[in-house]
Amino acid sequence: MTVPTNPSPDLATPSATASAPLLTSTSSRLTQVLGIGWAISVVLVVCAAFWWSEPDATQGELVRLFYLHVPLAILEYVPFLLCGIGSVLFLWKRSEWGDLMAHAGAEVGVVMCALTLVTGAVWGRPTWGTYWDWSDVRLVTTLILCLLFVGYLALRRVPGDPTTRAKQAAIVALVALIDIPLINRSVEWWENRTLHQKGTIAQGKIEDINAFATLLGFIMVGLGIAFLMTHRFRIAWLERQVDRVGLDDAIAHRRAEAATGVDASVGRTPEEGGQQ
Amino acid sequence: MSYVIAGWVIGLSALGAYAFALLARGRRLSRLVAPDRQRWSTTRADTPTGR
Repeated sequence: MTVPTNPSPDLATPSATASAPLLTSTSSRLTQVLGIGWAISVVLVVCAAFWWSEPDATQGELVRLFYLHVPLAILEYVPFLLCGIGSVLFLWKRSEWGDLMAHAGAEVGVVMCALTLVTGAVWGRPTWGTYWDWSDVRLVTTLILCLLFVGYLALRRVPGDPTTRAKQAAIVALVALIDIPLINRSVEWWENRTLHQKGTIAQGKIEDINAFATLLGFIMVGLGIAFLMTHRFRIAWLERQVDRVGLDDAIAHRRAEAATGVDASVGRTPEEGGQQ
Repeated sequence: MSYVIAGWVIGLSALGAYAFALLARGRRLSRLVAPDRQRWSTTRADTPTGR
C-alpha cells in the first residue's frame, strides 16, 4: 500500500478528525456491541472451562482446553468460506466489496487456523505424547490450508495491477478451499492415518455442563470472528481509499506538469523549441 | 493442567494482540481518509436527513 505524501482535499485533515473522535477508527456501534459481547463471552468461557465444568472421564483436565480448540477448529472455516464467496463475487461480478471481503477473510482465517494448530499441539503433547505427527492427515491438511492462505496473503502484497492481482488471488483462494472438505472428512477417509477421534460433537457425546461450556466456546469464537472480520474489512476498504486518493493525486500532478510544459512552450520561437 | 493454561494463555493473548493490532491499524488509516468515505462512521448528526 502506498501512502500519499502529498495530502489531497479528499484526505482527512487533523482538524476535521479532531472534533469527531469516532471518525478516526474502524469502530462503529456494531463493532462496539460485538466487542463487548466478545469480551463477556471470553470471561464466561474461562469460568466455564476452569470452574464450572467437570474433568472428563477419558481426557481428565485436558478437556478444558477443548472449549477453545474445538470451536477454533470448526469455525476457522467461516472466514475462509467468506473469502471464497468474496472471490467468486469478484470473479463473477468484479465486485470490489467481494474482493475486500476475500482479503479480510483470508487474514482472519489464517490467524484462526494458526491458533487451531497451536492449541491442538499443546493439547496433543500430554495426550498423544507429541506436539506434532506428520502421519496424521488432519494435522497436515490443516497446516496446508494455513500455508495456502499465507501464500494468498503474500500474493496480495505483490506490486502490480490491482485487478490482475485480485483475480489471481481469487483463483488461489478457490483452489485452497478444496482443502476444507479434505480436513473435515479426513478422520473418516483416512481412519487409520489419524490420531484424531471422529466427530465428538456430531455424535452427541458431550453432555450437561461440558456441552454448555462447548456452546459458550462456539459463541466466543463466533463473536470474535465477526468482530475481527468487520474491522479487517473496514481496514481493507480504507487501504483501497488511500491507494485511490494517492493515484488521483499522481494523475493530477502529471496533468499539471504536462499543462505547465505546454504553457512554457507557448510563445517560444521554433529555434528555441528546437534547441531543447 | 499446565498445558491447559498454556493453551488458553497462548490462544487468548494471540487473539487479543491481533484485535488490538487491527484497531491500531484502522485508527492510523482512518486519519488518512475523509470521513465521508468511511460509511460505517456515519452518525445521526452527520446525515442531512437525520437518519
